[in-house]
Amino acid sequence: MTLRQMKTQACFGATAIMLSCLATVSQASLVGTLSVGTDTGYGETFEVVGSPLPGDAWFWTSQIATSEFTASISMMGEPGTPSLGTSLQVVNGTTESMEMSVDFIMPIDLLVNGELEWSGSQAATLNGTDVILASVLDASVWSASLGEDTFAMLLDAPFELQVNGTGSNAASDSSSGTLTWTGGETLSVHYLFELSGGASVQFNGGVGLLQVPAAPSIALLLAAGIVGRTRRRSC
Amino acid sequence: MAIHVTKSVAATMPMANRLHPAWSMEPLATSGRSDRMGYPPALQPITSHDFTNASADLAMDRRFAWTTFPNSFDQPRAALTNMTLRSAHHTSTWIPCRLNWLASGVLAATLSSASIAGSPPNVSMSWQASSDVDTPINFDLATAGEWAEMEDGSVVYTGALFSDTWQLSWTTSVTDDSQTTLDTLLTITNTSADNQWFSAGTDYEVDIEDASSRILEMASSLSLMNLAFDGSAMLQSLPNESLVGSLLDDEQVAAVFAPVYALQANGPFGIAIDSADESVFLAAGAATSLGQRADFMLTGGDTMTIHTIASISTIPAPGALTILALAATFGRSRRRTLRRELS
Repeated sequence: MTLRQMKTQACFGATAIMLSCLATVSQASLVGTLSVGTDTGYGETFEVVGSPLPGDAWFWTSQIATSEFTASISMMGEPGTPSLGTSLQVVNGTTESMEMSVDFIMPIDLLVNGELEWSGSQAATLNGTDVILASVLDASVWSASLGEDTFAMLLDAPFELQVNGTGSNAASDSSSGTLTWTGGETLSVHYLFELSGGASVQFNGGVGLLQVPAAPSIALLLAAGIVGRTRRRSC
Repeated sequence: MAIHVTKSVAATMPMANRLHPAWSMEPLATSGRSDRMGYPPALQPITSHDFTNASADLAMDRRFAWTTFPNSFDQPRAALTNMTLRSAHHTSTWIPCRLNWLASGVLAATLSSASIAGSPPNVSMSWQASSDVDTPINFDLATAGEWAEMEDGSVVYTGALFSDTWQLSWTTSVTDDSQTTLDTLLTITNTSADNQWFSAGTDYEVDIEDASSRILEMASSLSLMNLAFDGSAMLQSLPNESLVGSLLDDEQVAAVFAPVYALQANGPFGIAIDSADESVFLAAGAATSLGQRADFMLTGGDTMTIHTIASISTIPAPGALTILALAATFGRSRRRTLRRELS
């Protein structure tokens, strides 16, 4: 091996190591974006660094504590086969009703153009004394978007969950459907709700997307199945 | 509006720095012989469990009782708050590498605590996951996460922890004015592939005065979610214990979701919910803590929430009720007179 070849190999090696390091850094810091706002004037956007979990899953968590409310947001998602499990805990520590919005954006791996199946569900549990959780205007309490396109809405307006006296109450909603992916590199979820003073609410839910095999692929699979069966019969 | 904390500081910190040196967890002390983690040798490890086997139920029950409440057979457990780290079990860099603990907002919590005058009430949590030999642990909520004093007088604590096999997020609100209230929001995810048993307890140290007629109102809501396109999620109580209970001085006084309780969520990202409540008259006697506990099995890869409120109030004595009724009547007649005078 000549000196030039050795240098070239060393150069490739170094580049490979560098790319590998960059990939590791990128893999070790999948960043989600969290936005929280209230009608009392609070509004912040954070970059939340994800922590890798076994498999391809990531975990993001963030807590906000003010004298008016606390919010605890925990998200578990898979960018590869886009899905996002969402948990949101909010306490309204004032004596007045409060409107709150919480958005979380997760980067996803690029999808193949075509049909996607989605499934999603959301549950809300409410605690307090004579308290209400309600939708705001005509917006659903929870929605999900792929890129800019909102494809799922749950706990649709007008939504209201009540607790009479001191106690607890729960409601849930599920839905599924298909959409055509035309672009977008993020999967995001949005919460918008009104919560009575002194109430605590906990949301639990998730959404997932599955690529629907394209029609030619299905035809090929069917053909392969028929051919396979014919061959087995002949044998 | 004063913003005490906004974060995520902890999430951006290197693994090795995620545990604040002043903050610690340790397995509950056990009586009798135990291994280095404090578990009686014959009673570990806890594994997933088939409820169709009655003998296995009993074995599991005993094993779980031992590992969850190791002292329960001989003496009541001590108060939970204990923030000293005895790192004999956790040496060198093994803790962060093994556990990946996320002590959410430990640094931020320090800032939060500093920005609020006085110290918060003592509220602590005990936690155990059957797959994790580093549990059970006890931790103080004010130190492990963030806390804030609310405008309505309540104090709220919030935070999250996770390991390779589980995640736990909490928001706990306590009030001690006309009523003593403990409101706990818990989200638990089983990030392992197998079923796991979990035990979560919250303990609020508060002086509950002796009164002749007191009532404890307890209510709880559950939600369970199948975090996948296939299969289903299952939540189940212990064979002989209600899923959620309220405690006074570590003694259970009310419980909901009686054994054997099961909740199932089917289908892709399917969800199931349930609610229950109970009210009990309390026996006379003062108490120094109000607590809640939840013990349950959760299937692998799934997530659930438990939202429980317990409130203690005094029922006015008959004499006081008469005075109140008289006051109301008198007030109404006064208002009527005033209205007449104004018109």
